[in-house]
Amino acid sequence: MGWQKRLQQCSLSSRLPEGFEEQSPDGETPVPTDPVPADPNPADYVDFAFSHAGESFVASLSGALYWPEQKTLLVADLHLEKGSAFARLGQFLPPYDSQRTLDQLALDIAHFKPQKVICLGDSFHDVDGPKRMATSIAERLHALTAAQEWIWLTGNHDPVLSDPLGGVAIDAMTLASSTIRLSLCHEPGGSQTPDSPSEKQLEICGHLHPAARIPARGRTLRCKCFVLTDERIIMPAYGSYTGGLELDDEAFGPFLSRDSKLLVIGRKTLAMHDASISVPRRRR
Amino acid sequence: MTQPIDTDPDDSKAPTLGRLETRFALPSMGDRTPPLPVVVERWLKGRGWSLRPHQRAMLSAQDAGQPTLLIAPTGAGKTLSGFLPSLIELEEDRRKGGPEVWQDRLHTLYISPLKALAVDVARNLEMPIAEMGLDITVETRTGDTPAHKRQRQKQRPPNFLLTTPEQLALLLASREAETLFASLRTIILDELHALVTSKRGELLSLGLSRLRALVPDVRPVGLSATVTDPLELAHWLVPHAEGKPLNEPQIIQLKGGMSPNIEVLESEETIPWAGHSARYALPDLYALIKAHRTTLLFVNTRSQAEFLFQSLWTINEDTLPIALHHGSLDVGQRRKVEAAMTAGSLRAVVCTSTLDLGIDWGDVDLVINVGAPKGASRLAQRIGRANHRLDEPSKAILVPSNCFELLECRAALDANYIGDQDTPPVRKGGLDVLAQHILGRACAGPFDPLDLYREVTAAYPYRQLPWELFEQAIDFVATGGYAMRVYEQFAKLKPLKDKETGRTLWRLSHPKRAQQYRLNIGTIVEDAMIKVRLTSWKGGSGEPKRLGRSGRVLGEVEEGFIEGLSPGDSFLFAGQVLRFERLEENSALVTRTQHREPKVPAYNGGKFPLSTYLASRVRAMLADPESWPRLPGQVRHWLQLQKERSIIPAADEMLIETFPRAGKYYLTLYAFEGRLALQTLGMLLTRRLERAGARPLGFVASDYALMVWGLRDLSKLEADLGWSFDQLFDEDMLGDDLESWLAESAMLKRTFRNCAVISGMIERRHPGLEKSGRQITMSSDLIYNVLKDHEPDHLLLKATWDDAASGLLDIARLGAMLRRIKGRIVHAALEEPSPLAIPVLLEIGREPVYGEAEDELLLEAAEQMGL
Repeated sequence: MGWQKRLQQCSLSSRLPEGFEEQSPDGETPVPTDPVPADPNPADYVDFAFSHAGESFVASLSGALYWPEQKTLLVADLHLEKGSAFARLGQFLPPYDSQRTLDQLALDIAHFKPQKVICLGDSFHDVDGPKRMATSIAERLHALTAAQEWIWLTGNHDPVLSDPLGGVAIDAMTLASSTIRLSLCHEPGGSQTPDSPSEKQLEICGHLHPAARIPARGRTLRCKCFVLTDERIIMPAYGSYTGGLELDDEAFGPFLSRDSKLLVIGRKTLAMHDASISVPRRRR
Repeated sequence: MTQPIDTDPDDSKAPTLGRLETRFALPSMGDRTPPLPVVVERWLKGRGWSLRPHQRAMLSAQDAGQPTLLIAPTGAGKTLSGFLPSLIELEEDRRKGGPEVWQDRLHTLYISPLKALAVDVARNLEMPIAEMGLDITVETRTGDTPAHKRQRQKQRPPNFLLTTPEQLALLLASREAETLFASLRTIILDELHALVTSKRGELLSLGLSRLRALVPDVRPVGLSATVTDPLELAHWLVPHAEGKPLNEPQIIQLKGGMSPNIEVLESEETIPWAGHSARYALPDLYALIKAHRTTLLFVNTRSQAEFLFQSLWTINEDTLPIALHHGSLDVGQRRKVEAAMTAGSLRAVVCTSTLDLGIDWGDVDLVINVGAPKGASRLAQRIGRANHRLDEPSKAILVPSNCFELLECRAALDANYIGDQDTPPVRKGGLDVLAQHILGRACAGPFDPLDLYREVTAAYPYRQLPWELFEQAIDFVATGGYAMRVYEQFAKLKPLKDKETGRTLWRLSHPKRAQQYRLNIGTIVEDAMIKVRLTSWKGGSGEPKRLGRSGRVLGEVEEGFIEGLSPGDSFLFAGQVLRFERLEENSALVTRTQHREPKVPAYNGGKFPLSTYLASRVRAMLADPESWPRLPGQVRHWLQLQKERSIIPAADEMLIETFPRAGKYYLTLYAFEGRLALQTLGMLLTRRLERAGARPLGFVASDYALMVWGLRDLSKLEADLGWSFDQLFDEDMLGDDLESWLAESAMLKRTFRNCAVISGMIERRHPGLEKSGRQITMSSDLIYNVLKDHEPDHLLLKATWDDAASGLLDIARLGAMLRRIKGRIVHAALEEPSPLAIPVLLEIGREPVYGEAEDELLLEAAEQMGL
């Protein structure tokens, strides 16, 4: 999405009371999440290595994606300070969401030891989020962003971010290796077309908070997932107050095809599926 | 305090009514009844009536100014008895003080659990008031009352205002509350027995307390059907201090009426082993409808109602006027059915519990209850709908929908059970409801926390609330009540120094919060509702076809149900087969379809669990083959087969069967302890099996049995894994296993959601925005996880646990069962499912998966995909 359109959307959302989201992608339903253990045992860390578009990646149970080739860790839709956005409207959600999200992020960083962390937009639930963040949490975040190269891509919830958080804020970017060009942006379809059509490009984005419904023995399991298509990887939402939007939502329509794959996040495992495995609600 | 007095009912010209019983001293019984005003006397004479004894007792009680509870069966003229003292008092005041004394002043507030009942009572009052020529104004105030009328009612109230607990809370939260209620003398609480067992009752108790603070002399009058513990219910009406009632209530109890005439349907058809549709009995039901003037057919769920209604019409050769009534139908539609019913133009109505309560239904001569009785009190109420008179027995027929239910019906009748009372006890006041009340109190103006604490603990359900919890509740309302104090800047309540006393008061931080309160009041949390709008395809012949957007609203259904439909799916609603076209904003657009076989909503089970009393009767009956000859032949056969192929357990034994089937191993436990307790047991048991390494995959629970299945042979638990059945079912599972399961349980999360919504942490509606129920679900589960990890002692988690332990999980009952079966487990290792197991087996596929098995299934699904 171009910046003009993003600006438009920004002014649209400013008409809504702050803290409230537009319909999609946050008209979402719950996905089981496991609490962050207080004293994490590194041996318990679950990740899942796979290759897509000829590239090697590692996905984590938390919904992060690591690209070993350039030692880069990607996360999407942190929605930090979502709790305080609701509190401003008089709904006092537990004020621990940012803390949890950062705890998890610190774990992932400790595991992958990336040189670079890139947040694919909607890192804050709204533009005032950084201002509301409790000092202790802000310091924590600052320490994280100072420890390695840190990039904030802007999203529809956080089109503008001020700098005291550390890191660099930009709209979109690309990472190129000898074999592929990774185009990173918030919304699917937001990347620029490659300079030469022959260049192999893979887009990695967030925004939609994908969740799959997997039928198993007459039951249906609902799980956050990565969506893998020829053109892109749509990442699951990472933040502790984010849920999932089911794949039969029309928002996914343009981005799914018959041979899309899903990397589904269970409670303690990740599993690769054909996209066709995800079923609409209660349909047999 | 004195012993109950029996009075002779024959001291009036009324027909024999049964026995009147009053508890505690009646200062002026019988001869000392105050004289009736002439108009009332004349009116009674004109109709050839005289006051019934309980009505006279009500008048005396009013004279004494005591809180009063009138307990009487349906048909005893309870409502008029409640209002008569008010009518008389108003008339007397007028006579003495001139016609203006009560002009535009509120005298009596009437609270009903149902809007429809309030409307019905208003209608029933109009007649005597008009006939007596009294100048008394009566109005209702419900969610349906137009805004201008509600506004006017606050300025110029009627003498009698008929409303609901939620509307009372709203009135009390307004700044006009003090002036509006200043003149109030009496508050009548109808169907009190039904109200007090719900959160609405808790809200009402707090409202009553608040009213008392505003008008100390207001006299509560409770009207109730027969209950297990009348004294407790009466105490509910009385203010408390330090946990003790401050004054003695008056109980006026009218016993009896004729015992109803109840039978179990004897059908020529075969009763199915499983299922809940009672389809087999359709021809019998139709014949019964034909043979009676007016029949009420009660079912337990909305989908059953739709199904039965639809099925009856497919065989309705005589096109008898048969109607449908349930809570999701459009109000207009419901009113039409009610009016037709009152006018006597219907032959049958298929209905759910929306009709359980006291609306006068005219000339019903047969009540049919489809499904098993489950609880006596509810059934008695339903049966009371037939023949709304005390001097003739009501006629009722029970229609079991499967073999297990037949056992239950039979046991109920054998034990003459229907006369028994098994109403649940009054609930302990919920902290979520308290939080809502505190915000409401702040909306009416600044308050002193000490005063409010006194007020709150004066209410029966909250009489033992400790100050610390109350303080926490205020903190919760003000800023969320978190250890991490970051929401001060957004506080809903702010402290304020009282200039006169120097005490700290709490005030609302912003008027917007009052608006939010008004939008979110109430304790009934439902799924978000979607309107069902009937439309049709327009265009055609060359033009592209398009779907009309306007059309009649047929009613509302839960969002979750609509979400489960795909365009083109057909379903039953409002008695028609409809085709779902698409969802548009808040409406589901549907068209009529010729489809005969609709996709019926999935059956979600009976809402009411089997009562403990009935459960033990069923067990006893099963264990005693001598009682079998009274059962229908095929049920006898079913039990006989069970005896041959497995075991019939003795009454004090617990039968466990194991059998393999299609690569999995099953274990069935015949406990007859009700769905809730068995569901909880299922959760705990699978957890335990998981720990034992038995790799369970799922379970299903009914009112009667629990079935667990997994990947290891459950008959060899002891040999393979070293767990005996006694160990497996040890009571200690109610300790750690319960705690750890609960923390993950979907049931608890749902409970949490209710508490979060009621307490105001999550809003149903926000001014200017419609927050959909779907989003609420999203947030509440995530919030629950966060709260559980970071503040396990948070007020809302306490509220959730209280709710779950009492209402949802039946933990007490499960504990009693585990103690009962200790050392009495008999095991039958079978090669195939036994006759008793088959109905349970057929229920599989309707319960959610849980826990670790999820991952197992995920991997399995992946394997099947060849990935």
